[in-house]
Amino acid sequence: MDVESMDGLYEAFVCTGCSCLCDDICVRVKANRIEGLTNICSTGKDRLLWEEEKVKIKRPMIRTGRLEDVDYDKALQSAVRILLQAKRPLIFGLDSIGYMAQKIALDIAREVRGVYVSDNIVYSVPFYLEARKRGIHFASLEEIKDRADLVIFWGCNPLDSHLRLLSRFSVYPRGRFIERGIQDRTLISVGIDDKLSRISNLSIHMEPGTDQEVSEALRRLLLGDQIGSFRGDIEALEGMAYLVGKASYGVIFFGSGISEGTDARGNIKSLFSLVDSLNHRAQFVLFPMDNCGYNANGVVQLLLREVGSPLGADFSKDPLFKPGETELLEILDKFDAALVVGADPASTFPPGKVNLLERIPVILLDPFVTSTVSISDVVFPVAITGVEAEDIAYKMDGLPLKLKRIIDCEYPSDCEVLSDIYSRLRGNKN
Amino acid sequence: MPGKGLKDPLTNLMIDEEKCIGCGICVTVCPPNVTNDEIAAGKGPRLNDNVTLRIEDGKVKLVNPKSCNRAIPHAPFCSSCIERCPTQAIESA
Repeated sequence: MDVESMDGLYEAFVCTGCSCLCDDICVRVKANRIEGLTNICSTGKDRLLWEEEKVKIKRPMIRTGRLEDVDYDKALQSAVRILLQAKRPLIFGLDSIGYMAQKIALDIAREVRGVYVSDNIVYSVPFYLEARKRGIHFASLEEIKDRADLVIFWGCNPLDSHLRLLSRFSVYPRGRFIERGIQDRTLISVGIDDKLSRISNLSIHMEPGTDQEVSEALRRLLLGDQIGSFRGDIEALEGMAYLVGKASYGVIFFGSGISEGTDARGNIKSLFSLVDSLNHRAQFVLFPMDNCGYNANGVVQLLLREVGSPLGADFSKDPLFKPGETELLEILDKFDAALVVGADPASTFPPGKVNLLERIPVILLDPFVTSTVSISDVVFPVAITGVEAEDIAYKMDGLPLKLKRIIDCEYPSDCEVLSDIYSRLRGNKN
Repeated sequence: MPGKGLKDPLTNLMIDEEKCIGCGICVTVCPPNVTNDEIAAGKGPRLNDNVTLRIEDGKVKLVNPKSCNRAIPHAPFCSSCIERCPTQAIESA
């Protein structure tokens, strides 16, 4: 493509900095470089103006003692050979790639009888297991903007992870029935002790690990029951019960502060009980904040459509991975190859578990040099989706948006590399 | 245009770009900005919108100090952006 032809001003560009997928970004492109970004937060800027922070992978590489540059075809052959020889390959990452690429990765997992797991699974398991049992109280971000007069952030801080969530979708914008924006809304932060508590109407501080106790005490207060002994600040909790009690539409955003760790299932269960109870008096929704890539919701949508469970899939002959029951890290030693797309497990896995990846052949697709490159056996440089390649991504509330290509790039997209791997796998099998 | 340690003489606003995270709260609560319905509903301003505050390259910019209520004689005193900023990136000099 002619480089000059992509120059210009792009309005309504979708940012892939986080799963808010803000679609009001203005981008100025000149000489095949992003010159300026308007309406973008610092997280989005770091992703789109990556030159300051990151180094791109230049060529496909395979390991022959050490990583060596090879041509694309040779890397492809190597990757296909690894996947064909593997008895139980792991297809991992997936949150930071487009939906079409996620879909082809799922086809590969089916073809090689692999295990398909997203990076976000650790945080989402307790929520989806509980939702399966009880049903779900959920709403789109547009509806929350139009109706919610109470917003609670519990164990999550959007000012670290989803910077424009407050100003664009939840707390500050004016909605159809919340005509004065923040003046008609109440913001409560629970378990967050920093910049979010500065701007909250009420901030509940608590001892770590007491989330269940707090939500149960709040539920009892709202029902008018005795709460017995309580280790936290009872006056603040009574204040919260008052604000929650007078809300007509509330939303509880929760994050890794409560959906990670040994207490996660109990925490989520008690939040579901609280929301169930609140829905007898007003409308309340529970909204999980995904912590990984911009398209974590894409994996959920894809898996629900294709396999019926949002928590991963095991296509092997003797399945070991039972979505929702098995911890991926516990069975990591059972895999004999890994295809990693849009993730950096060498940085995010505990050090003891990274060793398990080091001993098996790893195929990596990534635009940038990450720690995982050093433990990989085949490395493909790919275009940055949403900047250098088109695709589709699902916003955190499940709304699909088209990602544009605004920069010309010499590298293939995730989708193209995965398609090539998939067609070679099928060709070899046939 | 104010930057770290610099104040805008018209509005007396000081913006510390080191502290700013580009969350856009100031843009959504700024009274001159929210005369535009789209901005009041959370959308970022379009390039040709005449606004007071705008986020550029992840940092807030006072693009039109003359339209700020603080620069308009006899306008009601305003400190919406200062009060709402979670990182204290905007201060009154």
